[in-house]
Amino acid sequence: MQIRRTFLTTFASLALGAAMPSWADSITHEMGVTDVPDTPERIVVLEFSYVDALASLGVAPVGIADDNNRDRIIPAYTDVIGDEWVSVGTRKTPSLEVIASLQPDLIIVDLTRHEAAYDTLSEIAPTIVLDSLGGDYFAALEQMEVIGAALGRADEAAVRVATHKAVMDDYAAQIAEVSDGVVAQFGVTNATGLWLHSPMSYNGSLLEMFGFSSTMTPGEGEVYETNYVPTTLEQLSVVDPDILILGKYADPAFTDGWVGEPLYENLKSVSNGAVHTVTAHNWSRLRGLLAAELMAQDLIAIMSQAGATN
Amino acid sequence: MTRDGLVFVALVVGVLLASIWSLSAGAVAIEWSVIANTLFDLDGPKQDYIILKSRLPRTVLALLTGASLALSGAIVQALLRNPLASPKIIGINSGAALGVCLMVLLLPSVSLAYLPIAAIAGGILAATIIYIGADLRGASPARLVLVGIAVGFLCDAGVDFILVTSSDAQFSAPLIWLTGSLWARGWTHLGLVWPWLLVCIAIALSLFYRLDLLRLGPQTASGLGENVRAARLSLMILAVLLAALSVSVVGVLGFVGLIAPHIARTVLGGGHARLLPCAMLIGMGLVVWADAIGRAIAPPIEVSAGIVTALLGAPFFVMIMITTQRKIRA
Repeated sequence: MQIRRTFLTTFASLALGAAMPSWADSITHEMGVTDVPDTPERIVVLEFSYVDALASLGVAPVGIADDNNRDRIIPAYTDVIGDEWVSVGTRKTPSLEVIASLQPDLIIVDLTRHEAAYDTLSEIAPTIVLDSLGGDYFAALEQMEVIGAALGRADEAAVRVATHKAVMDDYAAQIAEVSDGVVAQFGVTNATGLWLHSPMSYNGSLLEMFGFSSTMTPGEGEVYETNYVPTTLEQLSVVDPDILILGKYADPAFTDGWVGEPLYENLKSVSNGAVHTVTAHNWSRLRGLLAAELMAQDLIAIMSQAGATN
Repeated sequence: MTRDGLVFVALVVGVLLASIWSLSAGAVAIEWSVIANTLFDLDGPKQDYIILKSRLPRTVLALLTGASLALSGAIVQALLRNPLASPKIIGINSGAALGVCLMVLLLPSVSLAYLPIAAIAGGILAATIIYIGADLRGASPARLVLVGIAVGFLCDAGVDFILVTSSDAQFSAPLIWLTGSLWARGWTHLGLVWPWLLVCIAIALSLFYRLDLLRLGPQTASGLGENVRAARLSLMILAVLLAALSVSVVGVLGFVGLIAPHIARTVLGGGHARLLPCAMLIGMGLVVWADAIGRAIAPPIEVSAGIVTALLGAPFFVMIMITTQRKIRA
């Protein structure tokens, strides 16, 4: 297959003349089909999950929308991609000027955040749009393969996904011993509120894959319309999970204010000492293979902690 | 040269300087020689994308929308004979914002490319409701203001309700738009609105005498042979179009329509032959400065122009109020 493709590419470039750039791959994405160069070398990514995908393939991006805060790219990524990237600003409104000045040959953007800028970005370089923010874990795996194809490394990506699945299966087997029939819920809390990540979200789908149940059931005739559900103490007491996993962006967090209130103290997770704190950034902002493996390790630590206390 | 003449020369120079600075301000530092090479197609190093496709269309769009919002504000203030009035009073901002939020909420599969249409529809619908509501017993300025504020609050409540109840990520793009930003705006956006805006601006500038008549009050105006009702309706439609078209491309840039005609009035007085072009130039300069400062203040972060106009405009506005008060006392 590889030999045949190389042959075809060689044939095509001979036919078209050596000076023509070789546009080997047409990538189908959320907003159409984009021709990307054979092996793009200057890649700009506007979401963290694409940093994850590039790091998983051992490719360093030239520009990252890191919210102008280099710490948001965690060591698990910088170990692979180094720290040579240029910050292109926030993920919400990245600086198109800085992106252009990097002279990229591929830009990978998010559907929800950057749909409105797709035309403008496409003027700078071939741009592919994926649904990272709205997608779950399985969508992230599919996106990994699209990114692999866009980078001209489809085979490597497939191998990497296969290894990842094996690793995750191993983790899942360890967690399955304790997750059966147990309700686990992840939420993010800052100074002003609590947001539960529904089974539709990235974390929700991952917890489900590990065998946990969810009591975040949609009401009659309703479907989940959102991934991230703002939740009050009363609503939390209805969900009442066995294990509550919290990512805290503030100290003290909004949920810390509930300590001492009967409604909170009577939650199953609180009275059983099964409220666990994880790194909010890793759990709620990062998506992808490496992020999922980090989450799995956190879960195993949580479960062994739970096993020790029981 | 007369004082008025000097003021106009100063304003034109100010707008030109702002535009030139806007071409040089941004996350990527570009030398003046490179800017000149790119603009005038000279030999030497160039920066085609950043200058010609990013900064130039943003600057032109800022000039055009600044002019439109300022003129819309001047018309509304004359129409309502109320210095606190702005395009917001006739429902443009809130109606457009609600239109955008409803579109994202109810039609999530529709492309965001249609966002401007939702904005125009929402703005025009709110303005129509306000006019009909106020017109039931003759559209007096006071009734327009009251009905406008009521409808505005209703739309704002709708926007708040949608934003608070659905914290879904799909609202992150409209949120940028709600603060009024020229981020990722290019020639295509300009191409959609410039012919309409130019026509509306020309008509607005030519109607200064009607605004002068209305400023005298409805009785005096009709005594002078003016059909007050028709004049009010046509001017309101013009103000709505100017503001709604601007809002549809750059989002809710709220402060310009209030402050630009005010500054013009303090500098040149209330005669609309001079006030309209003066307010227009101030609006142009204001939005160009706001957009350029938003780009330059903390690169590579982009601060929305709407935030900068409010942040810089408000203290400036208060300062003007204080100094004119002093003049009057002295």
